[in-house]
Amino acid sequence: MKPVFDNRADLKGKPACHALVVGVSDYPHIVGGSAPTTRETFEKTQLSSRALSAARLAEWLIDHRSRLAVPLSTCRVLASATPELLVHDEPVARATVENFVRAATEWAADAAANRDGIALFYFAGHGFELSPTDQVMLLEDFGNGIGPLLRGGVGVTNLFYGMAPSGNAPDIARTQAFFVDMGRTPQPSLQKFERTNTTAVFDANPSAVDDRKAGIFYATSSGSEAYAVPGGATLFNQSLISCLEGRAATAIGQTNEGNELWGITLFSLAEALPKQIDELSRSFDADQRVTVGGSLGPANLLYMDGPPLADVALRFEPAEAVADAHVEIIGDGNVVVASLAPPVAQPLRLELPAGLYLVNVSFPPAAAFQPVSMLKAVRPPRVDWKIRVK
Amino acid sequence: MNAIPIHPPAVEMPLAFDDRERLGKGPGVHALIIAISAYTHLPKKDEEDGASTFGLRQLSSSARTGLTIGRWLIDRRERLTEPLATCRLLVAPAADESSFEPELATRSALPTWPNVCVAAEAWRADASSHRDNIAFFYFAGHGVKRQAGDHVLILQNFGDGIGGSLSGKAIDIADLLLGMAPLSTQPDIARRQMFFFDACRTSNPSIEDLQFMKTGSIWNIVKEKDMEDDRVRTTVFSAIPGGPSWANENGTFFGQALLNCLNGGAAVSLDDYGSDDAGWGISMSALPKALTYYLEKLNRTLGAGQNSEMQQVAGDVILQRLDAPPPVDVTLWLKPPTAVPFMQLSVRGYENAIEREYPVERHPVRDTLPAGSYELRGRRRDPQRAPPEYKDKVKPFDAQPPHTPCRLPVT
Repeated sequence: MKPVFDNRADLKGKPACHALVVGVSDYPHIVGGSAPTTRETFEKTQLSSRALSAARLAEWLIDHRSRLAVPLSTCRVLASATPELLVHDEPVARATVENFVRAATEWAADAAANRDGIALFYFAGHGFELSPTDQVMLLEDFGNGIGPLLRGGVGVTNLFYGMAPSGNAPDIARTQAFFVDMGRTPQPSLQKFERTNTTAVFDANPSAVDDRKAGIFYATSSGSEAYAVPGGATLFNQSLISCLEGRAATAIGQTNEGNELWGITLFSLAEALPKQIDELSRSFDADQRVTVGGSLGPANLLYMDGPPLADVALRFEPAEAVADAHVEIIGDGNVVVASLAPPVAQPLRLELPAGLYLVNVSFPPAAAFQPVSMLKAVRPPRVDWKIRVK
Repeated sequence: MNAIPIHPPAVEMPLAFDDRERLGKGPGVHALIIAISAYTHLPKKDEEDGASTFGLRQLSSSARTGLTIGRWLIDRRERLTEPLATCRLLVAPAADESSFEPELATRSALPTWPNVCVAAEAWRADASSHRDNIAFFYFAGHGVKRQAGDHVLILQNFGDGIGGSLSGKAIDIADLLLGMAPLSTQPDIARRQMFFFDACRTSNPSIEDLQFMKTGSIWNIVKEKDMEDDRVRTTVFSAIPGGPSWANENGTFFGQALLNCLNGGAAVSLDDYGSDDAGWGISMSALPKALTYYLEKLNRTLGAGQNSEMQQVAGDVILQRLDAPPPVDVTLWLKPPTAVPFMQLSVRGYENAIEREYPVERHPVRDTLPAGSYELRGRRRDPQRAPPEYKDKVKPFDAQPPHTPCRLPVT
């Protein structure tokens, strides 16, 4: 199956990133679909934003490939949407079970070429929970009446453990991230035998030492729904891209010149993504909470071009000080980035590049407060600066 | 044959700490700690394998680690985000651990299957008294993996020769985690929960050769249809799947690393959390980075290769507030290193009175400073003798736990 982006010829033998991105909006066999409806739809409906979300993430990865910790070698995309989507100006195959298994097999084979590589997986669509430790992703042909009921679904657990190091893939990429953007509501009506009949994507070897740095980022917690803007992107997708653009950035080292080097790691993503989606879902009056599993590590996914922007909320204690305070914020190279005359907003909201800042607060001689100077750090996604004055 | 009771005793185990009466109906931390060094039915280090014991041996420092974690909780009971309400300890110390924390050890029970079932049920009942409770679970001892994604904690009566190898002798962690979920029978169970599994996750041929071995259930779990699992849950494994856990005479590596984290390595500024509280707190979100740092430090020193694994469900929990900024390991470099003989390095705190000068022969400088903002200064020791390309330089840095490096270019 042809990737929408393929740089394997240039990167042969080198550590590289391989992405598999899947989005399903069209489900022909559930209510509102173009084919006969399945006997059991689990109250699922057609979607409008999952395929778009997948396409959005794939485009983002291709556009920002120079920032990946290792060069992007392949990006495979499956999307089920009407009208059909183009990604990177290439048509994409539909997200059927057959296509999924084929694409995943090829993705795994590419990822098995170098242990210093990165494997990325993203799925957006319908899903549900077979048990709190077993989630199933539903593909386009779910409910097509061929074979068992869940033949159109693949298990996250099978995918995750199938990508583990094994005798067949001893050099598989040791940095892996799985983004599972779907609801996780349970389906108690499923019979026990039905639960075991999802389509296996891989043979999973249970005995090898699994020394991957591999995170599974679920869009929501066990038993809950995942939300989207109709016709737009899912909340998880929006949050993930915000994080990759810098909200999850962390200092990953220093250059020889002593400047901070910024990047996105599995750790920093695990810390920032839950906060980001919490903030976004609240703005939609929803409650969606990211769950992070797997074996996290300091593994680097992306580099930033420079210090990322972060939100700063500056508050005075006591609040009365804002009436007289003059605030000067001095950044790298003694550059004054803000000079604010009283009265200063409480809180004062700023967006500043990550780094260290000298904050000078002065008061007129008649004021009841003493001037203060302090060094304050700005780190994404946001910091609260409390300025305590006496 | 060593007989064990078929049914758990109906009486409650002794509690290592119990403040329920004083706390009344308010929220608190409820801890269950199981730590096993002495496995009665396992061979000692140099003895031959027993039948169906999977090559496992007696351990030497798991009980010490469990007791240390228990002592840590009790000593900090008023600094925890919610006050410590109960601490249940089930420990099986090795002979040379018997003098360790003797007073706590007398308030513990032996971690056999029946005792663990009783303690776990009582712990769950306590944790179910208020949704703002915090449930804390720590296990140190043997563990095995039966299949991918699986982890089983081996109890003290393992190897007694009664029934299947794991039946009534081991806890399946899936059973443990699921049994602590909000259920119609326990709607107000603690919504903040943390589980620490300090045990190997290895498999071996003798396990794989057997048909899937069932462990038995430590408790009943109601089948739930409508209740959302809205726990904020942290699950930390001391080892990666298939990987070993290590220990030395100071305790398990994971226990040592975890205590470093709890003592400040996993601290975050509560200001950054939009909290009304000034100061620092121990954050579960900060654990992965901090644990990795301390485990790597131990690995380097002791030639081991242990990595932990963590699952974070639906948010963060602050376990403890700190009285003071936490200690931070700092590493300070001069760039280029050829400047070292000519320069004097020093640090000065912005928010504290710390001023330190470092001997020139120490490079890079490794020190421990309270978290906060500092100025790193590089000053020519003798401006007449120093090559002209080296200049006096100053650079601010923010010391954040667990470790902050800072390079000062002086050209």
